[in-house]
Amino acid sequence: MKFLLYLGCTTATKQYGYELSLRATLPLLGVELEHPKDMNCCGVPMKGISKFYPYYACARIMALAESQGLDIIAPCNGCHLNLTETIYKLKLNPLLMSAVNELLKEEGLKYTGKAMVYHPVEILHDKIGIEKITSSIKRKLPEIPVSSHPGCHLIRPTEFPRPETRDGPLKLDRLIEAIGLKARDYPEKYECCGAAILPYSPEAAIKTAAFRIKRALAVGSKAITSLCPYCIDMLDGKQDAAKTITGDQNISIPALYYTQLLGLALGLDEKELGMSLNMSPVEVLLEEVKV
Amino acid sequence: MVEDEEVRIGVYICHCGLNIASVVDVKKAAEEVSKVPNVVVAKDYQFMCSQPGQNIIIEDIKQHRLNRVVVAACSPRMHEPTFQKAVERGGLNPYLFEMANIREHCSWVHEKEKVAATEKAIKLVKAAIAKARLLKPLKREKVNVIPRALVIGGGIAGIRASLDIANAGFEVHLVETRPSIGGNMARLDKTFPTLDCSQCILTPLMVEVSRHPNVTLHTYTDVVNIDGSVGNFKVKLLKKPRYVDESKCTGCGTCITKCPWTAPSEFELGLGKRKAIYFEFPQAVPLIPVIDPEHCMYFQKGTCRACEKFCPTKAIDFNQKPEEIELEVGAIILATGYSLYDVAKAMPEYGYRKYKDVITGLELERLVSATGPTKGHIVRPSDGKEPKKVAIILCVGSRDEKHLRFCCRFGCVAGIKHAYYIVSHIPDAEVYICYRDIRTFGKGYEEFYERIRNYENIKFIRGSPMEILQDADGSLYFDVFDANTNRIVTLRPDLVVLETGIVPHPTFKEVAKILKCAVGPDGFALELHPKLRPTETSVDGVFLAGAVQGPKDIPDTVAQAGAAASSVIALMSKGYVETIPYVSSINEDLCSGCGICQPLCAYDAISLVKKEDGKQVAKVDIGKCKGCGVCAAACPSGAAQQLGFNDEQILAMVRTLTR
Amino acid sequence: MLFYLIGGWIFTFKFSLEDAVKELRPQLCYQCMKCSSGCTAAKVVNNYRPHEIVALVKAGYSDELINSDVIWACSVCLKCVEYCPQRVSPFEVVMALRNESIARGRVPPKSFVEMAKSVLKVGHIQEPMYIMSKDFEEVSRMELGLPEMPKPKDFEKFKQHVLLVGFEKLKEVIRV
Repeated sequence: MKFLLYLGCTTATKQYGYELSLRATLPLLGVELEHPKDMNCCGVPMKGISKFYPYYACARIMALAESQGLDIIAPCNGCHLNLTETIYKLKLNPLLMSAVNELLKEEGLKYTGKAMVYHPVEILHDKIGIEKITSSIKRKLPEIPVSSHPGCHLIRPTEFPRPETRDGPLKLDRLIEAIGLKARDYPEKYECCGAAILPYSPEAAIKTAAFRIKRALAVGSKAITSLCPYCIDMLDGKQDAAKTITGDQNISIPALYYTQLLGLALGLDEKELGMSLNMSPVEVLLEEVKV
Repeated sequence: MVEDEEVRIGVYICHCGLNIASVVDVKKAAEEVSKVPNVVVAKDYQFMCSQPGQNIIIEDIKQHRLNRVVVAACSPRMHEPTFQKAVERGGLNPYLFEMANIREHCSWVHEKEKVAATEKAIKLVKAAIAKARLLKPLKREKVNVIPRALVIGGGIAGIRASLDIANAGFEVHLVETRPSIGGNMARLDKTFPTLDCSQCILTPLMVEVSRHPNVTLHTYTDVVNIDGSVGNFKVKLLKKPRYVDESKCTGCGTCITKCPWTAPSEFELGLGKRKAIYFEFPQAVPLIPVIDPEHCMYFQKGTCRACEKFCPTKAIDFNQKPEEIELEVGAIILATGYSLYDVAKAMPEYGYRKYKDVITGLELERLVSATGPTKGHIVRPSDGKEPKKVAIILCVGSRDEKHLRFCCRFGCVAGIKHAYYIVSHIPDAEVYICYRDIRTFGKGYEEFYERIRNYENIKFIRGSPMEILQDADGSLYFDVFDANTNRIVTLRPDLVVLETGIVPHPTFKEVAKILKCAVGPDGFALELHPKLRPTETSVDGVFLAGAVQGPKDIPDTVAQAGAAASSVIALMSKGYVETIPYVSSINEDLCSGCGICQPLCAYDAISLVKKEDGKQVAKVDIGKCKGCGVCAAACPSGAAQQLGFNDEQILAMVRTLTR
Repeated sequence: MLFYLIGGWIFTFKFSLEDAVKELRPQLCYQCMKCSSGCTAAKVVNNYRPHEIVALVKAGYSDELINSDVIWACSVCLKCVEYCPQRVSPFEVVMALRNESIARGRVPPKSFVEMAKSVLKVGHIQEPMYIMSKDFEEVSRMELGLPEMPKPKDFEKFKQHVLLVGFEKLKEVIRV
């Protein structure tokens, strides 16, 4: 299995822990990752600037994948939704499809709709499979309660096929249990991390993230995990700010990528998984995990 | 006979007030068509369907010796019978009449192109004239109506309709799929707006219908097949085995006391338990228990037989088999009612079935009922404690393009009633009703709403929550934007009541398939006309009562049940029906017996028969034929013709229109 | 404005609020308040209320919103899209208002300007950063052994296209 790793801006410019852990874990499970030579922003944060930019940007990304004959892994929920939405919208609107291709033609590209887009949760759960993961891990992590935060765009909108649904058990939760941890539900699990409010009001955004962290703490979770760079950026990177803004000094919980947890189970070193880059107290979790 | 006579046509162009006349130049149209050969008179008039309008036709038939009449007006759906009767009163065969639709097909759709519309209207009338020239008198056949009715569904609608028919002196067979009649109304504690006890007004009717000499009750029975047509339906029922001999059982209930096995009760919507041998509810009619083989240890493992041992009348019969019952009836009433929308599956965001303390309004009725699982105490299903703060959410699944587009028509008043239940049982409780619009349209409903608004501890929040969440300690909470106070309110209720939308009962889908009656886009039965024929279906002799036609409250359901019953009574009192004359007819000389038409007929009206000379020909059962014309269109030799719409007549119209 | 003739149809990458409103049908909204009850932003941003935005657009007060920064508060959680009983999608309405405000030459909140500038400079909303690790080391992609983050190959062409699909007006206003 070989895929084009389309990182997206947030992962590639600051959430290095995600990229490191993806690059470290997936090859051990038989997934080959191709680094793109040409890449642009998927357009999610720019939707308000221009309705058309995301279609052009995503069609361009997929045309690049098509030119290499590869499908895409999009580790960011935002990129994954936007790419999927573009596939659907362009299919429904041949006029828009042709117009976008007129632009791509000038760059020597062509988007036909062949390339598929996958999120790491689909790669891990559907392509690799729980069985392969359980048989590949070096050691089971202890049964400590961990809460998953799938992130909005992994489940919404159901108008387009999304990797997860909220009416059944999450694939992410099954993956958590596959490496020995205990998936613990918490209210507001399907809520928003608030990342997209940051440009308008950092304070409001951080308040939103603080709500989620408090809920996870309330159910006794020892960590929050996600597979979205925006969510982890908020839940991991903004804990100090959340303490200041809300005045609640109890906001402190390890927040990390599932691929980092998976890496630990696969016997990888925390350094390889970029865990020194997590801002939240992941060392507390590491203590508990190292038995 | 008419055929030898000179054809003399009278043409009448209706203004339909201004519906037609404001677009079509009716004077000009009348003048144009008066020039057509065979047209003796051509007139326009403001309302042809009025009494004076009809009299013009009758007078003209006599004065001008007309033998064909053409009226250009609205769609024939409404007024074709009106004019046919007028023509008949004038002394002609009613089928020597033809109608041109220059309203729906012309003036209403060409409002802005008056000149072209007038031309089109003239063409349409000329085509009708062309057909009228070739019309032949047709005959209606009389078919006797079997004076016996079938009522499907034993809820309040079916019970009321059965009683009305039975009281008029006709025989009724009432079929109910559950072990007891009573339906959803039996689950209610009180009925709005008067708050009278539901059981108190329903059970007397249940008993009355079961004891009525003209009513035969078939409980725990399904409809398997229905054949035939109005006046003569052949019905096949399947009586499911109760494993209790009805002729021996006295309803003493000893078997139930002795039965050691339990299962969730269907009647209590899973809130309570019943035994493996059970009455649906204490006031069940008939009061004969049923064994549920799925939970009975004898059926599962071959042991126990406690019920059999203790039955004083030896009524238990483990060998009972399903029993087929055949009936012949003249008319059918569908009263299959409703079930609740499956919110657990369709709307996971409200957490119904996921959180124990989120219940439906119907479940609350059971919690309040003195005979319910909690003996009338309102408690939280999770811990059995009395809820002090209750949120009632209206429009759950209703008025939603992604779920049910229609209004459930009783959720608002039911929600208000439920708030009353809470404060009357738990006076210090606080109730929040989250509503979108409060619709209290029925008689006395607004007054009831006002009465409930007076309670200080019942608060109305104008807004719907998006989702219900559960906190770490198990308590429920949600945010709702209140447009009345313009702020987001966070509620932490002990109990949440969802006033869910409703869908047709699943049995309706099967019956509709058997009967081939029309179903609306919402899944409910489609009435023949939303205003003027609300109890009739697309199948003659099949009538509707209650929520099978669409959401209804009890008063409307009972009213419609009475209306459906009176339609049935009218049919039976008359004793016969006249068949439509536009049936298929086979010219046996032309028919090659190829049989192409037979499988195409949707109504099984065509059979292949051998004539005396050995030639195989198609034969039409005019009792079954609906005049759809499929056989005539498919017949390769032109032997099958639809009377009143034969090839010659249709082609004459086409030729005129394309000239 | 460039246009394309495709199968006899003229296509331009021009945004029109009128078209968007026609497509989104805010007039179908009957103010059930579901969107404002569940809205992520409404809980933390004082005057942000999706139902009110839809009502204002429906009643013809779009200008008030276009000239206000509040439309930039949406958290893109898409709950309103998911649960709107009328398929109105307040999120899309907000996006249409944002697009219109850009088309009219209004400057969005600073962070959006920064992101747009970066797209026009490198093709991404921001450039790779130095990140402070737990050991108080500032690390870059290279130091972590990660391959370089690629830019669009023919960058001038890419930029030209980005401008064409809707960044032109913004570029004029923010003078990149």
